[in-house]
Amino acid sequence: MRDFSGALAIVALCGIGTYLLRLTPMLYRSGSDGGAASRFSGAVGPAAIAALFVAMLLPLLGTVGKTSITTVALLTTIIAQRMFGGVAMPTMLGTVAYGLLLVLRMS
Amino acid sequence: MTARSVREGVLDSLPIAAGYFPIAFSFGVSAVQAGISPLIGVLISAVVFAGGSQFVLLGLLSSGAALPAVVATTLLMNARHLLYGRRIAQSLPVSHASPPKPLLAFGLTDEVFACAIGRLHDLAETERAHWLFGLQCGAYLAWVAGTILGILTGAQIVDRFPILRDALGFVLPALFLSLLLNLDWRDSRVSVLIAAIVTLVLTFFVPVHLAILAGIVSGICGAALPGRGNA
Repeated sequence: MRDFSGALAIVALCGIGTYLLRLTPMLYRSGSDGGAASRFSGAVGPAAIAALFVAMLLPLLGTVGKTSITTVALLTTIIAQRMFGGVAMPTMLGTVAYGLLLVLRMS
Repeated sequence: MTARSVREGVLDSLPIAAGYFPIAFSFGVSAVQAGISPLIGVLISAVVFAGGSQFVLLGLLSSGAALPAVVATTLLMNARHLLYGRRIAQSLPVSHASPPKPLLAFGLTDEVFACAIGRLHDLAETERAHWLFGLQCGAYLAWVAGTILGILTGAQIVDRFPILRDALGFVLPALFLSLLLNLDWRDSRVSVLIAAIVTLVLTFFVPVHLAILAGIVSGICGAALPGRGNA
């Protein structure tokens, strides 16, 4: 486990960095919309989300039972996203479905 | 006019707050489970204020990953926020001075951005910045309050309902899947596929945080490939 001051430094750097990512484009609203720089910056977010999704999903797979529960919960998330849009509601409904399926499997 | 615009923004933030609170609560519970100091847990929510990346930051912190890897992974994940600020700035009057842009930038999360883009053009130009400030305040307070409650009560709740520990393991995949589904696939599918495949393969050979970084970089490089998916 990391010591308190080390963790504090990491949190501060992540906070400052995230803030600058949000602030910088607001201060420089003019500029070109096309070009390689625009294409690369547009790919950063989707690539990050996809990589993180795969990395977080893998531990939830394994046995047939675990994989089945995870698959149903993923489908619930997809359906909720199509019905309600956004991020918060699909996330919550998918997680609730996953938890309920775990309870059902244990009972 | 100013106070009313802020108040309307806070009211319009209620759906975001309702979604944020339980996720922030689960973040607080996860922080307790990971053995992170309660103060650090609250500070992460108060200072970073960026849903999915906070869970990743938490995982990397508790695993003892090196500072550069933790910061780089967190910032790469939040790099999509680079796309938000400019769009929001274009919706605000050029001459607006209050609240200042540095203040409005802090709360520019995914949900706030999506809600703001949908509503700002319905508002009078003079009201937009104050309404956005109210929207961000509501979302931020829900996020920090949810985190604090999760940290304060998380251990007891998880001890009483141990199934919660396993159920919370799905929060992140669900969050990232929802974010993926919100993407415009015409612009990003090649990057998404390359990032996912590279991460999947490398996870079997290297530590997961390195697989994530390699996946992200590969996905970004994939944007250089010609084709409809990277138009």
